[in-house]
Amino acid sequence: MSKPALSARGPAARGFAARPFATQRLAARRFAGRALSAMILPAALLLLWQIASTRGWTPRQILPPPKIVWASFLDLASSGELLTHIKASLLRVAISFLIGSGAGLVLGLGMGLSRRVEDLFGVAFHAVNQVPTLGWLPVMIVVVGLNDTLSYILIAQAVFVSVAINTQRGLRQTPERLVEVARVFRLTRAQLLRKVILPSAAPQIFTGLRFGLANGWVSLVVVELLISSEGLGYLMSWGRQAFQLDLVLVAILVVGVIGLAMDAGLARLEGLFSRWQTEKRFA
Amino acid sequence: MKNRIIKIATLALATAALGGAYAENPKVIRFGYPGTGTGGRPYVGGSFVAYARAAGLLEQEFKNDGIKVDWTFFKLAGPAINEAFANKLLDISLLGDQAAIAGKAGGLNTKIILATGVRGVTYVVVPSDSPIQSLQDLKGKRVALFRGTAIQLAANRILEANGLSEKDIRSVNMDGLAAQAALASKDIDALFTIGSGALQQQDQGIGRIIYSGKQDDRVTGYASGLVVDGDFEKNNPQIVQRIVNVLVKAAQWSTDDKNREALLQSWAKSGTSYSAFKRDLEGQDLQAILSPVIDDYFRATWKKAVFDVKRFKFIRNDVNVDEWIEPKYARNALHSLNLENNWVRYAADGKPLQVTAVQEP
Repeated sequence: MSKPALSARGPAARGFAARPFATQRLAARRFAGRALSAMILPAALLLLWQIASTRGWTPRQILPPPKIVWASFLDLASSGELLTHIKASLLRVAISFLIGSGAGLVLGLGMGLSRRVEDLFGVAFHAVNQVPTLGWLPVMIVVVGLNDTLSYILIAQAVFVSVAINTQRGLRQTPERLVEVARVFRLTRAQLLRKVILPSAAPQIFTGLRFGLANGWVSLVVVELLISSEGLGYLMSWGRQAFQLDLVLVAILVVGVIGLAMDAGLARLEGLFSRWQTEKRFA
Repeated sequence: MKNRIIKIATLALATAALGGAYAENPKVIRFGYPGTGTGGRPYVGGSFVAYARAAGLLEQEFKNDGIKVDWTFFKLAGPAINEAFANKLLDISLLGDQAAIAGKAGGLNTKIILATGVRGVTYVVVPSDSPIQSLQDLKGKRVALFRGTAIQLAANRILEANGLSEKDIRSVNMDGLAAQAALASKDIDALFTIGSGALQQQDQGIGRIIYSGKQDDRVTGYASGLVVDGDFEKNNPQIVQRIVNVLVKAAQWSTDDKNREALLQSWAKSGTSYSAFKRDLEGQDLQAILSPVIDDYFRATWKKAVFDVKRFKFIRNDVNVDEWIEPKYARNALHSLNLENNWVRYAADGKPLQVTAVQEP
């Protein structure tokens, strides 16, 4: 879905500078309009939150007013405590992401390129897939114990699944006509892989990485809620234990913003990547 | 139609006005308690409130008024009790120091109306075959402590007195029963715990106690109190007074040494063994640790708890203990039951006050 849209936007973007001023302004206005409509729902929620707390719909200890949450945010940010938690969470996700995506790429490549590998692992892999990451938690606690290893495994698994599936799918979806052309040119198997199959699968693989990261980030929070003594998930669980629900809300907002930023960053990279692919292929 | 609305409004107003002066008795008293018995059973041990529960004393008191006593035992203890108070789901509860202070600092409208325990003993338990011998060996180990409860404050005090802090251990947040299970399966290297569970685990050969607060005079024991919702107290002062009267009588019975056996038997309804309770209280003066009297030591313990909880950064706002404690119910109960001299009063430093034998005329 993103591929055709982006390839259509690609040449247009390059022609941006050459476009008449009026069109530029129109584009800018359209962008501002989209940004504005994206803000409507969050703003409405913020308003609802504010009303709920001023009208006393929920006790202020349970849902602290936005003002207090903002003050706690500034407080945590200026003391450096927030940064410590963010760093801990990012590091945990980064390590797990490397492990999970590495393993996912290997299995995905294997299953995508070789029927034998797929016969061997496919059924087991898809069976494992049917259980959500957190469904493994009770079993993994017994096997691995309640420790950091457990958190790496669970987050890595969330990444792994998405990367493996999308890699395999990407490889399988190489357009038949490209393979035929390659045959006509009598490319070797290695050449076929390097010049045709991988480039054509790259966008899908990238999508797998992007969703993998998103899944990993979600799992991180749950895992940290349970076992960690630092990180954003820990901040949430501590806020609840300490009856400081403002800390919980600060953590939720930060988790949301970071998740959004990471996804937007990867989406941008993905866009650049696939545009490069398109340009190269049609050059 | 219009007439009817006016009638209803007048009736409502009249009821409200009456309600202000003579509040109608509540249909139910919602009583909370931190922790549950083994496997979640609705009985506990360790306090005269636990005895009153086991003996059904409050139920008897209010039976003729048609008022039910609805007990809730909170597996997630103090933090969950604070949430219940905030959501107006609870009228009165026993509560440990740290959670009660966190609730008050968070703006809950509560009052402490009765002492339920001071000089609480904390234990550190390790698996029986663990190489850990002392608190120093806990460095870098996975240690369960129940965050947001009196156990966390006690653990931080104990660690501090031994030159350590919570940062030196890898602390895991677990409720009491979960931590006991985790110790048995060796998912944790040690656990901070209060009460008789530690001795039970030692009895069962699962755990070994490497630290007991009984032998440590450097560390202030935790305190607990009877905490009441401010609105419930304001609207039902007679009910609150009767609750306190019943509990003070229960305290008198519980701290009478000739009832010691029976007291421990009543606690054993919780599923923790009689012998574990017995050894937990070995060498303890029941009169001192289970006194319901709001004396200078009780106030000092809570002030120190507020000071420490703030110092360890478990709360951010201050709490004024003297404004928080409402001593009149306890005072009335002691007076009307003629128990004013039943318990020794202790000074802020924990030493018994010299009893002035004869009051000035």
